[in-house]
Amino acid sequence: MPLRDEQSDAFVIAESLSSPQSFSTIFDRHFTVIHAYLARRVGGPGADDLAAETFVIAFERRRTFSTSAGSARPWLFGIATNLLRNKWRADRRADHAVVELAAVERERTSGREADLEAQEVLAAVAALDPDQRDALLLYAWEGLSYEEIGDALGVAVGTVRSRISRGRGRLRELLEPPPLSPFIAPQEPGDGS
Amino acid sequence: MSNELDRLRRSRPSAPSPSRRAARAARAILDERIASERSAGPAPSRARRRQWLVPPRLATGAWVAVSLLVVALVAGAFLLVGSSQQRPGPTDSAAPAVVPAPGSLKAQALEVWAPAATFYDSLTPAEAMAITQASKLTGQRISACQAPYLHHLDSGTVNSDIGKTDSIYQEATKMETMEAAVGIAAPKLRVATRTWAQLTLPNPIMQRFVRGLADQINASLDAPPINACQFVRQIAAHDYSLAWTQSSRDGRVATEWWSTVLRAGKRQGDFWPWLQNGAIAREHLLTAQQQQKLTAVPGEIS
Repeated sequence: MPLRDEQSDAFVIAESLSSPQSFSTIFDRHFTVIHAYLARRVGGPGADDLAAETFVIAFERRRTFSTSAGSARPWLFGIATNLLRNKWRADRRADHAVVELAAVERERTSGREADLEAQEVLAAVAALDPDQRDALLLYAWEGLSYEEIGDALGVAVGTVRSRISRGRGRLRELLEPPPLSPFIAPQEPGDGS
Repeated sequence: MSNELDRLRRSRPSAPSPSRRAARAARAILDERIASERSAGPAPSRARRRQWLVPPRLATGAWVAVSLLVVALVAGAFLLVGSSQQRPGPTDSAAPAVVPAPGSLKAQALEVWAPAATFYDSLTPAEAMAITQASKLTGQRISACQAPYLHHLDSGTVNSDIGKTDSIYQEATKMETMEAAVGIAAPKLRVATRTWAQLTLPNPIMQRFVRGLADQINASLDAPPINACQFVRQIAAHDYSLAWTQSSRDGRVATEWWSTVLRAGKRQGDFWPWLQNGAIAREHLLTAQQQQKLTAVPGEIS
């Protein structure tokens, strides 16, 4: 019989239906990654509670885990993302979570040019539509594939692509503001407008 | 070229590792939940889970108190009922152990849930499996056939002509995906939407929710068939023209479907925050599983 560490998440979760204690293996495998994701979204202290709740919900819903999925990680990301949404709904201040994170980064690494860029990007991310933001951050920060994001968010791959595409478009607009008004900007020679 | 995705990746905040204390506390909360299932069986409600966010020692005390209370209530119920041999069922049962007072919020919530319960109960295992797979398979098929055109569709900003063309095409992909899901058990789904549409509930938030839910699912049930693969090929053949895309049959149909879905979605909008996150959370009205299943009814875009 293979050691537990060699068993797939699907196997461990299936086993936990009859032997609940087995689910601890899922916690041991993924807690750090899920905590890191939540910490990037809401900061360390907020992440502690949300990460704990993610695994409790996962345990309660383990019967819904698709045994055809190999890793439980996208599923756990999905639960964590839903919790972030609920937190956002419950506490309107949290929609500025990314901005708050940017402030944390600013304090930690003040003055460097790269950090100024990070602050600008994070502020733009905070202005995105929540659906687009979730998909984009799972893709760019957590390295999930489109299919994994679809599994995590419970949407089709086409929808993921759409959200990421639109999120990128909006991000591009926010990071590259339109050119200055002609009343301010110097006109090009020969520009008749 | 440094694009917005590269900049976003470079801006990934460094996440602090969880402290040992936080990891231990989280593990203790999970272990406590596991232990409670081994001893008690049914899963606790979301409302009860909230208490686990307090320090573990307090949570343990609360858990013991709740357990004692449950034991006392169950014992009392057995004494009152007398000869009943049945143990209380799981919390997700469609039939509540105690019948709520007519017109109460609980009774109305069960009316909201009932059509979904009937729908799920009526599905054959093959239908249930097909519904689960439908969105995924349709998405995979569309992903494959649109691949040659993505580079061009993604090349503009949201408000550019190509961005608007892409938006209309995206609505067609969502529409086809949703049609695939609702088409598998359409007659059974229509029974549910008809019931929701005819419900009269005193609570305005639940009333708007069931009407919005019915309208949203009906939008996909009633929509004419669409083929996103064929549509994207036609868009490319017309040089990605926004004017052509807007006036095409598929473009008009997809835009109209999406606006109907959005309108219906707005009518549902107040329900979930009201249920879960209001000043007085009402999560007890529907179990976690009922809530999850309500958001997973085919055609519902939550």
